[in-house]
Amino acid sequence: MSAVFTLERVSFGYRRRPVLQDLSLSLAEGQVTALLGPNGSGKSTLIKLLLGIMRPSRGRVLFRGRALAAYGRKELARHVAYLPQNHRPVFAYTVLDVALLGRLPHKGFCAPFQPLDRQLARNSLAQFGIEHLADVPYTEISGGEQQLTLLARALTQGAEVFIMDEPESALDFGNQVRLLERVQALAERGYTFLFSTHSPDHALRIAHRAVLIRNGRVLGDGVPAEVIDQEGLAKLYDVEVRLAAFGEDGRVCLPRLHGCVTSSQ
Amino acid sequence: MLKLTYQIRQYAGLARWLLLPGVLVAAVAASLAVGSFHVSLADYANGLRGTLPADRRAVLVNLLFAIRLPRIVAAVVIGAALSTSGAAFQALFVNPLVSPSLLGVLAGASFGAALGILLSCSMVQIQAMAFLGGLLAVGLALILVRRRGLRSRVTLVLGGIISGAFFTALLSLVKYVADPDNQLPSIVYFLMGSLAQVNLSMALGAGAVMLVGTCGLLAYGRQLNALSMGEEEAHCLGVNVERTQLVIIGLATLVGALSVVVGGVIGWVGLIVPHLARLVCGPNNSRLLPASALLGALYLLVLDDIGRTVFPVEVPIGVLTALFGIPCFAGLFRWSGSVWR
Repeated sequence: MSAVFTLERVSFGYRRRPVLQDLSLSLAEGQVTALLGPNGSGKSTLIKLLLGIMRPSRGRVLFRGRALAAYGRKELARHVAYLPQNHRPVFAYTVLDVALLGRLPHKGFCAPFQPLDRQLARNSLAQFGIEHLADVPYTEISGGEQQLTLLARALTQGAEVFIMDEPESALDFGNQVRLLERVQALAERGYTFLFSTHSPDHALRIAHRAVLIRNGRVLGDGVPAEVIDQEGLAKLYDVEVRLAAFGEDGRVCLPRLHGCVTSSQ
Repeated sequence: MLKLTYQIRQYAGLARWLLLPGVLVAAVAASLAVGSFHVSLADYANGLRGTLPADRRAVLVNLLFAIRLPRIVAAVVIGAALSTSGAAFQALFVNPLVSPSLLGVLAGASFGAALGILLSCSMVQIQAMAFLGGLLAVGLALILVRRRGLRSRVTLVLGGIISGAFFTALLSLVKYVADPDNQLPSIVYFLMGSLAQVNLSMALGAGAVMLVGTCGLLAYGRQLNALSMGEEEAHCLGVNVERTQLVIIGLATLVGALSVVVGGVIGWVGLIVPHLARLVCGPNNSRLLPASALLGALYLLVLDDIGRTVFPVEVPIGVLTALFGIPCFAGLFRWSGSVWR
């Protein structure tokens, strides 16, 4: 399997505080990779390096074997899409306007959006079943629908690599599950995903691979069922966790709560 | 059926687009005919056809080119420029309460003009100093935050506040040392904002540059949409964040400083008109910017007409924009329940 992104011995620091240290990693085509780590572990920084928002202070970031810095912004945007954490937009753009922004990297500076661009954006919305929201303000739809709109925008971009920063963190349980379903379905169609998450369960559920980072270093990297275990989570979060197996459906984490006597029993 | 309603909606949108320019053209024509000296549009038509007596024709030509046309051009261009840069700044700084004076351009230009008056400079020199003062203030704001990187818009706002406060303090100093019988009133009148002194060459010269600057801003609608979603998102949609920010700030500063050169300090237009425009056409900047330009031109033109006809003495336009703008803004807020829409 060919590598989409490759990080070669990448280090990054703000001022004198190192955030990422000598990190090597590669993302394989068509895989869903989950990025796990405590707050401040360097997950967001890693994502920004992959997106070219920041440059590493040492080491190299490659996209499809070519230095990331050699790509133009627009060129990269046609291949890699970014889905931010659930944000609170100020202006009430319509859902279609938001999805239509995905056509921006395909347009010259002065070339206006054509009916075809609108149709492409509508098609993407339709793929996620939210075409009926096209003219509704983005600020008035639910968090789950906002995430779907951002996925639709990423499809409109024509991207085949989706980078998501804690996409499910602000969603209710039902919308979290539905988002994971969408990601899985897109991955089956060949799209590549990297998502950071605070939920080991989500990584266990849909990821082909989990990367555990703490203090800017990789603690574990491999198949989720092997990397996300009692020992791995203890090292990552300093908590005690038991994992329960549900047969074919995989495993879930159950944290142990210390010093807290529960009311039942 | 769905397709039909879609088409109808498109035509309705087109009609709405033709409506604003139509109203603006009508307002320009009406403005030619209102004023203390009575002339009807028929007189202008007769003048064009050459069926007017020669003496009356001379009066008419003088009135048109020396008095009414310069004011109309100035009101239209300043209104359009300030409103467009206001809308652009609101998107750029993701804050609907921002006005074009955010980075200190008006404070700097005011200081420049006041200093020119204090030093008894000629009118052209005063205008040049106002222009340079505006550029200087924004330049200072940018330099103050340079180290932290232009990408951080919060620090940019802070730089603007510091720079604005600094030039306002300098302005106070100039006012304090100015001759209270002669210079101080000139400074105060200049800062109130008025289109009474505009001449045709000034209006056309500065107006042409402001028009170009405004059109430049209009081209950035989609980039502003992306930017207002967040800098990182904009970057990942292929927008050159830093350059776009610099160009928009540069253009807004250029037209803002020129507006002070032509008409003094005219506040509130750049804050209120984008909100009115948002009510008309929604927040999408590809539509909002041109709508702001048209509506701003109309707004300032009508207010200037009111200023020179309704009251027994001509009221400075800067006073009127505040007097009309504040209740307008308050009403907008109460009516829509939010200024965010």
